[in-house]
Amino acid sequence: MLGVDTGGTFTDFVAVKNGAIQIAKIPSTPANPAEAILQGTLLLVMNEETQVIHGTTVATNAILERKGAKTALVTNAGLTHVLLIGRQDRPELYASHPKLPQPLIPRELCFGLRVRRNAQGEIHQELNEHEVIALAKELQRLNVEAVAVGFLHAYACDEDEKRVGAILNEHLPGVPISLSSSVLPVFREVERLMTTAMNASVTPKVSEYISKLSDGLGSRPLYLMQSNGGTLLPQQAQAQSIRLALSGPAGGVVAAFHLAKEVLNTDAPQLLTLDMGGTSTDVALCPGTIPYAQDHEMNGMPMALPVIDIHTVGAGGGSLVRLDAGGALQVGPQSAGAVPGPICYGHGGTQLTVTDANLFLGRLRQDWALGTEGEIEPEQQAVVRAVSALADEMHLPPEQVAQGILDVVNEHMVHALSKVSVQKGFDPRDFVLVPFGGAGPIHMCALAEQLNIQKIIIPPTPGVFSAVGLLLADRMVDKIQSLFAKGDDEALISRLEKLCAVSKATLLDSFEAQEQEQVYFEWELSLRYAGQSHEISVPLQAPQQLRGSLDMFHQRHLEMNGWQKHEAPEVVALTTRAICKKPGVKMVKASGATSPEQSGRLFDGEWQEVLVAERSSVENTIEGPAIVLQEDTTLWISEAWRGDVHASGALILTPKEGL
Amino acid sequence: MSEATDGIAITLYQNRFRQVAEEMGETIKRSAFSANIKEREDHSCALFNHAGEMIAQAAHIPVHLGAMPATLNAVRARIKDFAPGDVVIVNDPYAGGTHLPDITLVSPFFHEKELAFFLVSRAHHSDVGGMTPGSMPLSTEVFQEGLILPPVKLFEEGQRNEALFQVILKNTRTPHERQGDLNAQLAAHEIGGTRLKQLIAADGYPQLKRMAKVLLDYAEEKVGAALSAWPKGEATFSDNITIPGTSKSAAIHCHLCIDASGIVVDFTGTDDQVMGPINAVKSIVDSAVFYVCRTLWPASIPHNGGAHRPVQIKTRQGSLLDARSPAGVVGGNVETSQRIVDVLYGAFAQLLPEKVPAASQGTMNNLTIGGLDHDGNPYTYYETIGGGHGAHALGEGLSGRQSHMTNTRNTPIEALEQAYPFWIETYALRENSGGMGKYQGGDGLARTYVFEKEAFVTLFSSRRRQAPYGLTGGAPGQVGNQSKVNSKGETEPLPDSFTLTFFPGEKLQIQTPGGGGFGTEESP
Repeated sequence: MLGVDTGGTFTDFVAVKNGAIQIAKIPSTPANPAEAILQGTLLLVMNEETQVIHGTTVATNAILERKGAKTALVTNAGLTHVLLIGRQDRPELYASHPKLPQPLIPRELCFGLRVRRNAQGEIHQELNEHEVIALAKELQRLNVEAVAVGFLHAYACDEDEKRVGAILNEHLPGVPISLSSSVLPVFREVERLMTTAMNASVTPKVSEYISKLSDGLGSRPLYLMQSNGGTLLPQQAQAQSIRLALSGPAGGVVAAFHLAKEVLNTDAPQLLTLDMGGTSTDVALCPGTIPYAQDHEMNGMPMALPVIDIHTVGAGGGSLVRLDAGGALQVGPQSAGAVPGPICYGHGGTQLTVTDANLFLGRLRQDWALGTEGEIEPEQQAVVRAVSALADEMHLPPEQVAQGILDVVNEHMVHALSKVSVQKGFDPRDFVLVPFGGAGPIHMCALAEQLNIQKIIIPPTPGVFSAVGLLLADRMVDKIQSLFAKGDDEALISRLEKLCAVSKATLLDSFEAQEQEQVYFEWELSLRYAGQSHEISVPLQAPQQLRGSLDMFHQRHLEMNGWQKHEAPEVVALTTRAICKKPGVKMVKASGATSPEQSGRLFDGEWQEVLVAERSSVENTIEGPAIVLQEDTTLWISEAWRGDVHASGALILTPKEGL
Repeated sequence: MSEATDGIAITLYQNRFRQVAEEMGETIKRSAFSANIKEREDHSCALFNHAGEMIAQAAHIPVHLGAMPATLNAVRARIKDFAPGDVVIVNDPYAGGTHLPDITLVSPFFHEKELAFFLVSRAHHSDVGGMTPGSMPLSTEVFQEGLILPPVKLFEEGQRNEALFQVILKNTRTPHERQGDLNAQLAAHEIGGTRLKQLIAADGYPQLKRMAKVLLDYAEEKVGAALSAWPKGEATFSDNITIPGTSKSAAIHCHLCIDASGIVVDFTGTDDQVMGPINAVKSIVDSAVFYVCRTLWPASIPHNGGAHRPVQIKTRQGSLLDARSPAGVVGGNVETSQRIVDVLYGAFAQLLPEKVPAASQGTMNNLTIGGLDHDGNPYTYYETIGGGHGAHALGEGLSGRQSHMTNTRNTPIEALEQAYPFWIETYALRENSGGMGKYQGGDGLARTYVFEKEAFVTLFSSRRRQAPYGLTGGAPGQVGNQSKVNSKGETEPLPDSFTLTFFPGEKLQIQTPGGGGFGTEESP
């Protein structure tokens, strides 16, 4: 099995062979991402049957850079500007020169058909097929490459969309048509139509990419990671390409969840994930399950398919440090990026970054810094000069300034972790922290201390953990259906039984024959009190157990909002997930050569000598303060913590004495 | 700066205080009942020190921006004996409020026995009684606008005043919703108090108190630094606003002076208060002025009481912008506030021509619809409609968006048509309604409602006669208009503000104004 995670700078590969993990990093080839993948595959792959699981940014980039297909929108007459108007709000409250992101579909490619249904799906105005044919000819004349079709209330009745889709298909051979009723059949027209438009716009590019990649991989089966943390078959990904758009950070959460299950020996671990990279940090809270959300935005556009609920902040190792006009120290959201990068990379960076501050304080010992007592590299000298210059400007000792940079960036991350925990009614003390990404394991102890977190699980390979997630992700397809009902409606249970049966049957088709027997289903209800406009999702064990879901809703509402009502909530949507569990992937601890322990100088309140060890040489336990070096990242274990090595290869930190 | 008040501490505490207010705001949004708060985010929260100076605010809607300090002043002037567990409620425009639907809660926060902070939340409640459903009537005096609550304790030492609470609920058409929304506000105060306790536990009260003061001084310093880069000088500008139900309008007049010590904004030349709903109390003017300042000075300046210090705002008692009771004020918030922004920008444009945009639509197009739904239950629906933004030195104005003092989202048409007995036939950009120029003003919106059942409709709008101005040679945007289409298909124009019953099959068409253009159009 091979996991391949395409990133902006590097393509990460993680292969498992007989339980042993192999890692490779190859520079990405943005013009043709498949090139780097095929190179890496040749490097690592063992045989012609190896499964390849791939996380791609082709869909993401097409949307963010507006490089998707030339797409037209077909909607109801009178509402043709629905996507341009959006939710009618402006992105920034206090801008004298406000700007909007470039529209995905320009005004001249938005078309209206005189057709209309009401909220019950009944006809107001009937579709005229001649009008559709005339429009098809116009679209052909305009050389449109993809079409999104979305009518009001199509979640309640999809007949008009299907007829229009069929006519367009006939007249526009080879042009992909996305129907809102098949991409996302739930109410709220802006969100549904925007998601459909994005799907249409990325489909040609993603399809072509997947075809090329499949050809290159020959007989090796290919699976694609989606934003919900499950994998898809290539043909499904080609039909619903938008499902790949937020898959980037999903792998890490999946991997963290699996690891926490194993380490904590439970099926419902409670964890906070912290994926700190160069420019941003992704955090997620898993309250015993992987959490989903349907209110994500991409570049100001709503993307309403269920995705793993990840919160992103613009703070990472490469975040730039500056003093503002009032003399306050600011960190991020601007980043040094990969080029020129932090000063310590020596690629021409001149502005201090978080990584430089870590280096200055001895937290980040790159290999060139080890054992070079007395003589330091020019890059390190440049960092020392930059910190000293800033310290002079602030009239503070340099150590305090470097520590201040870390305090400020940690504050941003504590805020992010609070947003997904305390602000949703969860106490972080009940959760374990799983830090990964290039910079997560350097900041983990400070964050855990601020949030009173009592346990940290450090993965065996934190630097390529998202690619590890690809190997662990289950095959999964989901489907949402709108339904409007009162929770105490007597007919609801039988209605749910019917809906569940229908979605079971449709979703099973998405699996290969040999998988179908192992497929199991999960259901979720979106509920709210009458009059509310935000829903809370709770699991539904089975239609007959509706009562349990309603009780859980009242309880969740109380936890999140401080109150509950003694009335039956409204049921707004049913989500079905069909899952085919992946057979467990056993990964054994890589036993590297033990190397002698060393010591290094590090500042944590004062300069001190601390232990510096190679990760592979930590056999059983390690006591903070210590720096642990490994191929893909560096760990900083502060004085209050002790680490124990788990059979999975994870390092588990707990406070020496309760915090 | 001493060691503990360095640039690191400023950033850390600025974030910490702001997070208290933000988290309170999130709590309200999450748990409120009415769409007005949840979807439209018509609410704000703030943290004040014991002396009534604002330390941090999470303002989701600019019209709340400068209005909270006046609330604190009024509350502190009337109530002297605060105790832990007290919660004061107020909406009286003449005692700390702005217009009646905005209900504000103020709770003291004690550290041991010391009154340390005040937590404040304000939310637009979708009905507080009065002449018309939705409490946004075309009134002539404040008594017609709904229930008036001077600053009184809703909770005393944790005990709710049941008599008062029942009176409040009895004076709204939607008591159930009021209860839910007030609960949401109370939950926010609960959360705010918990967060303050955590901050005190982590850093100690003396440090928190000191940093609150440091942040006020810091904001003042930063405003001073920003102003020093602005040209000094004086400018004058005026514009009109229509008085609903009449053919007359009132003039808003501004004299702006920027000098070394700060900004003086003088509105004393404005017309007298009028018989109608467009009068404003002074805190509306404060909000509009701080909104404009905030768009012009650097975004990094924290919004707290310190940033207000270099800005002096003058109004004349008895004028349209500093009305005396019982003048009607319900539209001061929504319509007059927009015109104050236009007038102040007009003055600033003479001193900072590259920074100031041409006039945006300058109205909120407040529409209230009430009646009985398909099941025979009474409903009230309120919405505001976006329009064109003014173009500016860097480009075209936005089309079909909320501008300036509001930023509320629309209700999805599919949600509307599920809930109410009317449907939306048209919701589209109004092509070429933005003023021409080197950069064109943004387009307004066209929206058509088709009524399936009898409905009681109130529109409250402006910029139907005086067009949004262009700048540096740009043409003005088109004025808005509205009309009724009767069941025979005949169109009759309607006035800019009206209350009218619509019958099944009849339609209401509204076209909102376009934004002004910027710069002279280059001839090809």
